[in-house]
Order: sequence, then structure tokens, then C-alpha cells
Amino acid sequence: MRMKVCALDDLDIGGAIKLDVQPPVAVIRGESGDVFAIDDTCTHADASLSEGFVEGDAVECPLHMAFFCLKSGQPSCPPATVPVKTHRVELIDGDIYVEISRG
Amino acid sequence: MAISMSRSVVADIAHVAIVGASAAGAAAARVLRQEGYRGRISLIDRDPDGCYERPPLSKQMLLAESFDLSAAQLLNADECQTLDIATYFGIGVDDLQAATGELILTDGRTLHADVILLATGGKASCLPVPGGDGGLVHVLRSAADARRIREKLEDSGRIAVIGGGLIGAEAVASFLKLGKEVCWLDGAAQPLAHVLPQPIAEYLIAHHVSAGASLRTDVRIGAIRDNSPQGGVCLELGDGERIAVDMVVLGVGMVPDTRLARSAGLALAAGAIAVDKKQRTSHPRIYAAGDVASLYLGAGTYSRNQHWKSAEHQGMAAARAILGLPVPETPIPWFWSDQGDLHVEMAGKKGDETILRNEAKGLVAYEMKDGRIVGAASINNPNAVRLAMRLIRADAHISPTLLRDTGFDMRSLLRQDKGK
Ligand SMILES: Cc1cc2nc3c(=O)[nH]c(=O)nc-3n(C[C@H](O)[C@H](O)[C@H](O)COP(=O)(O)OP(=O)(O)OC[C@H]3O[C@@H](n4cnc5c(N)ncnc54)[C@H](O)[C@@H]3O)c2cc1C
Ligand code: FES
Repeated sequence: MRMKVCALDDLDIGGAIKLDVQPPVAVIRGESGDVFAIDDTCTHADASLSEGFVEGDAVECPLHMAFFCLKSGQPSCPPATVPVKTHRVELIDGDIYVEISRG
Repeated sequence: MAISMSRSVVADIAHVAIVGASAAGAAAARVLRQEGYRGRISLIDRDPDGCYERPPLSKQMLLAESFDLSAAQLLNADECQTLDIATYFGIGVDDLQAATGELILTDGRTLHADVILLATGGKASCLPVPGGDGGLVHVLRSAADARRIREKLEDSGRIAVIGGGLIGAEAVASFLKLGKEVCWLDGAAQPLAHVLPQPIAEYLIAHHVSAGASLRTDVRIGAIRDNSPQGGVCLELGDGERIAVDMVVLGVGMVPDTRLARSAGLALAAGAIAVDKKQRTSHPRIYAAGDVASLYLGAGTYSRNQHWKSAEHQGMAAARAILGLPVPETPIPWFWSDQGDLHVEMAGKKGDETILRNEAKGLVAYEMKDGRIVGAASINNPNAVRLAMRLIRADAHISPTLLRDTGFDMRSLLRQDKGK
């Protein structure tokens, strides 16, 4: 399923938008300026990664500070051990689109 | 090279016994397996509720419709099975023989371990006054404590919370949310000011008072008595005043549980088990982590950190050290607290001066020392603290004028620092 998120210019560096799909997806702009999409719910417990602090192209979980690479979804610091799912992001005419992959 | 070394060490360790299955112990058990340890792991906790998180006990667990500990499980039965962790829940360790590695369990069994991790945390303190430690008062440290409070809640319209620390404040906020009449008593001149920047403490206090808490500071409790025949409990204050309530909840701190450490003859510091950055105690076979540990910082100073993240980090560090793996840097102290609808975070320590920044998302207070940020706290604005943690780590020099200026992009400080 492909979803239009917003214009690239409307998403600041370090900013995030939570997409209300099931399960929710976080669209996050890393410090490189690139935009990424990952599953929003932390794999450790119930926290929304769209509320996390962005450093480089990684996001820190707001609850217990696990750190996820936005590109690969891999956690680089405990307590999370399971990667978050990543979704493909496309920029078309200055707008951000996310291809939500399930299954 | 590093890998082959750690393997040889691991080969000598057939059995790691972890005493205490809370934040530190559970993290250690998990990390041992993650790092490839294949020997036996025993996770022992005298608490029959097993392996769960304490932070929800003063928040969600008091407020939720029903008491469901499964939502707060740290390691559930399935995970323990998958990770091949043998659990001994509801069974205490009665004695520890450092020389032989023997743990004597309360059910009469004896375990022999090559390495022992003490993650025994602490116990809630009582009040050293008549009635201050018995059935008339409630503490809040375990799931059983929270259950006991919940059982009395329905018949308790008026509750006294004694103690101005984080757990006391959280209990106050939770009881107010439940529509209770709350009398909040603190021995200090101001609650929370010992753990948070002054303006943040003031903000929280004002919030709880406006939500209905009746706050009494500089209070000396003389005794706590059964209020028969009217029922309930009566607090006798030092000046003779009496306060009648239906329930008394104590949040007056915790004492590290060093019983086993003492019987094993381990060195203590600041009332807790002295450990180095590899969580090693004074006995080569025994490690300690979490609320029970006192971390040596060098130059004769120790730090004790009774918060979730530090316990989890130390448990992880202990597991890595046991396996001969490098231990990550000690993180900047950090905790969160949820008080009603307010989410508070604090990182670092207090300084000489507090600078306030009134961000639209929520108030931030920076603790400054010699022109550098050494601590930060915020209300409903956690990412401001996360950013400040990076500035603290970078030992960044920042002008107070910039900090106060909400038009100034704080993130740019990180970029500058990286550019250096
Ligand atoms: C109500 C409450 C709310 C909290 N809220 C927050 C919060 O919001 N944020 C935050 O950062 N921190 C919070 N904390 C602090 C945090 O929970 C603790 O720092 C953390 O639990 C410490 O973990 P630990 O593993 O070191 O020890 P503990 O959690 O104290 O666990 C030690 C375990 O060892 C077991 N044990 C001890 N001796 C023996 C023995 N001889 N034999 C067998 N078992 C034994 C005990 O039964 C216990 O389960 C809160 C604490 C409480 C009590
Ligand atoms: S919920 Fe994300 S690290 Fe715990």
C-alpha cells in the first residue's frame, strides 16, 4: 500500500510523522536530510518511535533508549534486540510517499 | 583475538547464578545469552511474582482498572524457556559462600555457581517511629505492595502519602487521579527539590497542589496509630497535631539489600556493594549490579544510582564483563517519572545555576556549572533532555542567553560539536 505523507519541506531534520495505519508507521527525517519509514512501535515494549530523539540517521526510543538505525531498522543498543520493520520511501515532485509493506 | 580470549574464559564458566530478577538481573540474563554464553543460567528471586518492572507500580498499576502484571513482565516464561534460563521464583537465597560459590536456597536446595551476580536491589525504607514499619503503613516496592494498596483503595477516601521523593510524588498524582483526598507530608522544606532542578520541582508541586493535594512540609511524624474505634489510621505529628486518614503510604526511600554481600564478606561503600566499571566486587567470583551497587568513579568517590536505566545498564555491563567482553561507557545518569499527566525526565546532575527555557512543548531546566551543561530536566518534553544528554557528554560550553532563547535551534549545538 502506498501512502502520501507530506511535502519534504514540511518535515524538518529530526522531525517525524506517525501514520495511523495498523500497525502504525513512523516517517522520520534523519540528520542527513534523508527520509525513512519504520514501524512506529518499539520492539522492546510499547513506545512510539515517532516521539524519539533523532541522532544521525538513527532514532532513540523515548521509553528505554534503545537506538534503531533508520535505514536497516537494526537496534544498536539495548534493551531492544529485535529490529523494527522498515518501509520504502519515495520522493516524487517534492512529496514524501511511503510504500507500506506487510507480511 | 578478543573473541578467542573471551571464548576461553567462557569455557571455564559452567554456571552463572543471578540473584534478583528485576531490571539488573533480567538484563544480565538476557545479555549473557545474546553474547553467546551457552552454560547454565539460574535466575533466582524470592518474589513469587517473578520478573517484572517496578516503574508501573506507582503509575499504571495503581490506576488501571484491573491489576495485570503481565503487561509489565521483563522476561516471561516463554522467553526464559527460549533463552534456556532456569528460574527460581518465590525462592530466596539464604546464604552465599563466596569461596565455594554455594548458594543456599530457602527451600533447602544448594546451587553451585562459578560466577554469581548479586542484583538484589533494595527494600523500601520504613519510618523509625512507633507504627512506622508495621501493618498500619504501606510501602511501594513490589507487585504485592501495589496489590495490597489497591485492595484498600476502595475504602480509602482519604490517603496520606509520606515522603517527597519521586515515588511519593507519583503516588500522590495517581491517588489524585483516582479522585482521592490526598494529604502529602514531607520532612523536607520542599518535595522533589533534592532530585530535580528547583523550578521543575516547584512546577510539579504546584501542579499536584492545584489538583487537590494538601501539602505539609517540614513535618516530623511522631507516631502512627490505629485510629480505633473510628477506624483508619492516625498520624501524630511532632507538634501534637493529629491527622486521621484511611490509608498511609510511605515513599521515604530505599535501603540497598546487602544481606548476602555482607555474609559473603564483600566490601561495601556508601551502604551498597562496591563495584568497578566491570561490576566486579571485592571477590573475583561475585559481581553486583543495579540499586544494590555502588560504582567506583575513581579518586575515592562512588556513585549510587537508583533508577531503571542505570540498573539495566549495569546488568548488561556485568554480563559482558563476566564473558570477558568490553564494557560500554557508563551512561549519563537518567530517569523518568510520570506524575499524573506530566512526564518528567532528568539527566545528569545538579549544578550551581539553573537556566530555564520555556519551549512550546514543555519547560526545560538546564543545570549549569562553569558555563557547561551538567544536567537537564523537562516536563512533557523528553527530547529536550535527550538532546541535553548529548551536550553533557560533549562537555559543551553554552551561553545562558542562547539557552533561554527559544528562537535558537538547540540542535545546531550538536552539529557544531560534531564539526569540531
Ligand atoms: C514504585 C517504583 C517506581 C519506580 N519508577 C521509576 C521510574 O519511573 N523511572 C526510573 O528510572 N526508575 C524507577 N524506579 C526505580 C527502578 O525500578 C529501580 O531502579 C530498579 O528496579 C532497580 O533494579 P534492580 O534490579 O537493581 O533491583 P530491584 O528492582 O530492587 O530488584 C531486586 C530483586 O532482588 C530480589 N532479591 C533480593 N534479595 C534476594 C535474595 N536474598 N534472594 C532472592 N531474591 C532476592 C528481590 O526480590 C527483587 O526482586 C521505580 C521504583 C519503584 C519501586
Ligand atoms: S520500549 Fe523502546 S526501548 Fe523499551
